[in-house]
Amino acid sequence: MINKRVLIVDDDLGIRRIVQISLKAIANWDVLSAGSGSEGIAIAETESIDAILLDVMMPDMDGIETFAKIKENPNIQSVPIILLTAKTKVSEQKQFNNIAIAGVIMKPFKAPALVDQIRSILNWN
Amino acid sequence: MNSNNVRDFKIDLVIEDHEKSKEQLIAELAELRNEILALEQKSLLSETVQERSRPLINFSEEEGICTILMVEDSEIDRTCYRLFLTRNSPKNYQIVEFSNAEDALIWCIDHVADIMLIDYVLPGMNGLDFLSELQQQVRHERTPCIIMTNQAEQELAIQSLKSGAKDFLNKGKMTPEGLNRAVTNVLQQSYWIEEQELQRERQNLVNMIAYSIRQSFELDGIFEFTLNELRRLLQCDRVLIYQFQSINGDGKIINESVVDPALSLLGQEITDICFEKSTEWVELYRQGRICSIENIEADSSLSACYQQFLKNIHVQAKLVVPIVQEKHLWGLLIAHQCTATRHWTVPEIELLNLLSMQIEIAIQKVGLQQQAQKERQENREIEKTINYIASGLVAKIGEDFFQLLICYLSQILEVDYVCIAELTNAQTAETLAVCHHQQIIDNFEINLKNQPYSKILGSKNNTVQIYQNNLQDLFFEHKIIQSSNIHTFLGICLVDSSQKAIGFLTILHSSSLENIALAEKFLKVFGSRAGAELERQQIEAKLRKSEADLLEAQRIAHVGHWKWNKNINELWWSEEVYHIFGVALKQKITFDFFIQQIHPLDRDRVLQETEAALRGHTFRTVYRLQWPNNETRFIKILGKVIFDKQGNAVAMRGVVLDITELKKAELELQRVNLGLEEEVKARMNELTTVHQKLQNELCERKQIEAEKEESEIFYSNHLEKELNEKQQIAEKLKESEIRYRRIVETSSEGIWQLDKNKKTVFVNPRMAEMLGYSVEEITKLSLLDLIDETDKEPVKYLIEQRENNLISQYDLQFRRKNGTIMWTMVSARSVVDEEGKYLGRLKMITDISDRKRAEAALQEFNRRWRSVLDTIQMIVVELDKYGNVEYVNPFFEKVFQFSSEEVLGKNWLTTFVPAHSSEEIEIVFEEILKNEAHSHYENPILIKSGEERLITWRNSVLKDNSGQPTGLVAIGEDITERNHLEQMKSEFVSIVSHELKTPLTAIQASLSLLHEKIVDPNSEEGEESISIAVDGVDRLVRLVNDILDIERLRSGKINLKKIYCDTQEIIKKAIAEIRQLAERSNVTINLPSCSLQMYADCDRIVQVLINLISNAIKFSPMHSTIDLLVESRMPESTDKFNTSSSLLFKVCDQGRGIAAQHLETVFERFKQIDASDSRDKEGTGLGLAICRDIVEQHGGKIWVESVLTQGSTFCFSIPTEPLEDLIHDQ
Repeated sequence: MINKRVLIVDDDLGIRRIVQISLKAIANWDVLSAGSGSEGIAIAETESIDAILLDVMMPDMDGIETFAKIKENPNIQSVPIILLTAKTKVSEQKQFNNIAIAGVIMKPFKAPALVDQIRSILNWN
Repeated sequence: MNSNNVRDFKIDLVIEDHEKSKEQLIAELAELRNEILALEQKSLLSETVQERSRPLINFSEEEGICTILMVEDSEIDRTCYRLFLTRNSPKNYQIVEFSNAEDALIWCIDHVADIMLIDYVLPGMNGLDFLSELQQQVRHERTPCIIMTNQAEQELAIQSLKSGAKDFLNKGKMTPEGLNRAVTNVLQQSYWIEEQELQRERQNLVNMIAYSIRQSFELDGIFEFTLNELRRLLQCDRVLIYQFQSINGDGKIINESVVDPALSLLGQEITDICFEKSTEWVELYRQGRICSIENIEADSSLSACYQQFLKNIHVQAKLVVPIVQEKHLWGLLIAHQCTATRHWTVPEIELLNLLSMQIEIAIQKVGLQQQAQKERQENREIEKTINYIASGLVAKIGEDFFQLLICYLSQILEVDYVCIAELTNAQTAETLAVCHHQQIIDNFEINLKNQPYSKILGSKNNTVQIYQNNLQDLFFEHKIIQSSNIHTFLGICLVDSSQKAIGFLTILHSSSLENIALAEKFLKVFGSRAGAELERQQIEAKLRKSEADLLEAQRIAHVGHWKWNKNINELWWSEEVYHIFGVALKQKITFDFFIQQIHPLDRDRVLQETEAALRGHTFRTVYRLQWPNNETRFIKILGKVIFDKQGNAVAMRGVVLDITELKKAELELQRVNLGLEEEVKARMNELTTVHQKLQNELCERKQIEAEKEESEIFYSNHLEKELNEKQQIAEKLKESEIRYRRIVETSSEGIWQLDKNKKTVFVNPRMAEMLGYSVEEITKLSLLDLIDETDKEPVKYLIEQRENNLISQYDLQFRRKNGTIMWTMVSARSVVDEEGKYLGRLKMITDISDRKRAEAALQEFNRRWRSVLDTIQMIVVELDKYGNVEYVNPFFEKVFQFSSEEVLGKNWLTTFVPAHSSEEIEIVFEEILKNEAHSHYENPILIKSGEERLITWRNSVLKDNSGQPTGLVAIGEDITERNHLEQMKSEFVSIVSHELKTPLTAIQASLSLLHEKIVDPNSEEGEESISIAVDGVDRLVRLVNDILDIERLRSGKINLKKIYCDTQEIIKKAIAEIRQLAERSNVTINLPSCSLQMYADCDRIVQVLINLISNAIKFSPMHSTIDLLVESRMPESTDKFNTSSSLLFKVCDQGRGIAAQHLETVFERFKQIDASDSRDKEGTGLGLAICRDIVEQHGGKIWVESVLTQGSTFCFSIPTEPLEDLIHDQ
């Protein structure tokens, strides 16, 4: 069975690395990482990716804008996207209801819970 | 031999020993000559055989023998130097002497000296040529050398040192101390260099071995490499690894490196009987003993048997260090010298010890790796099985999942009982399924008081509780355990997605389980799956119950719900809708069918309202329904339209209420109301008739009175003539008078009659009562006497005019007898005779004091209300039912910047509502008037300048007497700023939340990896995880400190401790904090030289400087310069409010600069130009905001001047004197 390949897009290096370590150590998934939305799109276009973990609050191009650009791009629009967010207010989360994301994972998270949630959202058993 | 040398030498001797007598010196010289002769005879000395190997000489050990090669053509000089070196010397020198370089070179082929003393002037070749030849001959060996010469030239000295000599001695000034010191120094230096090289080599070896251990999992390869390198470095004959096989010291040599294959011991098992008291020495090694033996034969601590054993395996010296694994002695690392005895130096012992530690690491690592591989293999096997079972279960979900699961477990694990139970409450649980040898048996109830159950339910992190002893005692109320002699019990808690315990899965077995680890693993895997399934089933059950409740509630309330998918024209009804429509449940429902059910008269309206709803209006309508039995029902339907992303209506959903009964009640109520209205009308008509009758009677009475007057006149004139008639008339009159007097006397109104001279003719008792007089008293008074002063003049005028006015009506103030005022309404009419001649006035006076009071109260109320409206700081608007403005208060004019003249009569919706919300507000306005809805509403409005303001309104509907709406009054509050502040606050909280959660995420994820033992803390990933967590904590601490700082500053909780401070001191403190950062970034900071005074909180100003300078460093390119300037600034003459002098600090950098539009915002919280700066530059986004707060609290200003790409200058000013004093002075 071929390992899953996940792309983490987050402007925080610490989070990128620990997600990389966690997904590899727990689920043996290959993890690619990007520090910005535009870098993430570039990687998604050139690499074969099974899912994208996308941070919402990023400078320059935020997660929602990045999401819209990915969905406009016919080459990568089918890749499921999970948003990572620290937003907990209902009003802030409302904006996620109207877009075709696979799921939302709240920050902060424990490493095993992150893997469980990704598996659950994407039906990766 | 140069005689001058001898002379010089002698002179030196004489000079050195100037205290000796001439005779003593001659005697010593003679002695020297004798010695020289003796030495010449011992020329064999130069052929002494030396070991090729040269052990390192430690000069701290006095007993070390040191070989000196002396090449000197002068015999006397050689003798002198020999004596200098051997007499009274603490060292033990062996001196090999040659008179020419060629012989010395030959000696050097087979020997190595520790030091060479070479005369520069030699026959054949000079000293430097000798050195050059020697270097070519023995390339790698470098013996330290001292050149001796009479030519004390600097150039020669330099040349010698360049050629490799370590020192240069002037023969002419040679003394015993000088020579000894030079030799000792050179030897010591040489020893240190060799020691250093050896250490470096050892370190390299240790590093290489450590590296090979990290690279390889192959122990033999690691051992072989380690032993070969170790033997090369120690230059010993054999090194080996001995592995213990039992605690009595028996073992096997598992790896070795030997200089000669004949010495090989590889593979030998050592079970020598000489290992007496083996447990003692094994224990000593286990505790870290190191055994170093120089000479086996000479070591008395060894038993004869053991000495023999060592001799058998050719050991003359040995060095042994232990290899320990987890406090057990695993083996020994041993070095043997077989051909000679050997002194083991401390660095050698240390090296062996270090390598033994590396070997320990290698063994441990390979062991762990093997164990991990084994576990991985096992896990893979287990996983295969689990996946096989799980795939079977997944396919069969919906059948009895739990029965299948426990039967599978029972079969795979071959256990007696598997049981899955659900918690019914805190004390009891009910089994969902129990399997006994793959057969499902009856369920039973479980008592959770048994202690193991509470332990299972308490451990929710997927851990398995195992019990193997005393089960009968532990499970005192467990039937199966009590009756079936259960020996092993395993249990795991089943949790739902919120980690709440909802049940448990247990395994019971009558003997001990062979593979308990496998059972544990299965329980863990299937425990979580069973928990998820149980939760799903519980949720399904709840959902089913909830649906049933909903249907029941709908049935009771006659409410149904419906969905209509417009695109595929599919309509769905809940069961109750069918009942409401009187339609059979099997009927196929479409939108057309639904329309057909509606009463023909309502169909078009419903269709229109549906269309309107799809355009975005509210769908709320009542219509009639015709049941198949022709009964008419009233239905209320409420709906909500669902739009897609493009805003197209795609579906509707809503509820249907049967309001027939309500409607019937309403109709009945209407009918009753109509009846009541009719009755009221009839009563009103009756009252009107009575009133008319009374009026007529009054007229009649007045007419009779006139007639009476007439009669009286008639009577007086014709008394005599018409006596009879008069009598009759008198009787009639009497009757009439009695009747009318009764009317007049019982009237509730005052009646007052005046004659033409304004004298009172008649006053009725009611009038007297009203004024507080008796009738008699009043009759004597004039009307004007009783009228209040304010009304006297108008009344006089009216009285003058009255003859011309037959009837008049006016309000008049009387003054009562008790002095109080009485308001009255006077109806007066002139009394005239038949010819129209004025006779007087008849007045009907009604007390209207109450009405007047009410009017006054109303006026006062209106005055107060107007005053409130004029002064209230709220917008008040009154609109008519068409939305036209009827009234606005002054505050409205202030907010909207319109005058009331510009506003009155204008349509509110078209004038003041922005186009984007006019449609919405139109609907809201209609609903307010129609249903009194939206008593509170918030919407934007346009003011005169075109700006939008957000207003929150309280709306009240105005109604006429019939209850019909005539308009509305709206009281509004301008919440634009408040709303903006709330948005800013919300945005700030959101940013702070994000900034805090970012490091928290890194910390939590990292620590969970370590805590859950997913990564080993000592692995690369583990170390990186720890590093990420530590970075996260650092950042969090910085952020929290900054947030606390800024909040304290803003809430005034930080009191500035102002004193007079010196700028030099402040700058010094700030620079001390950031020097390292500047050095790391290769940035130079130019500091001001001046020293100025100011009145400030020094620590806070240091904080500002640190912030600004560290920002400048972070954004400066490498090798650039930052200028820190301080200058004194006098107050500007144009600024009359600021007369204080201040200090201006400037921090100028050559960084990337700031765009003009960001020059103000950089001082706001979390407003970095580029948000990623906060992480890349280790900032929190609050530094400049803190700086601004500190500076402004000092009464100063902070700003930045910058041009993009050309650097920035951050400036701030601080007053030099206390602000309070300045204010006081002013």
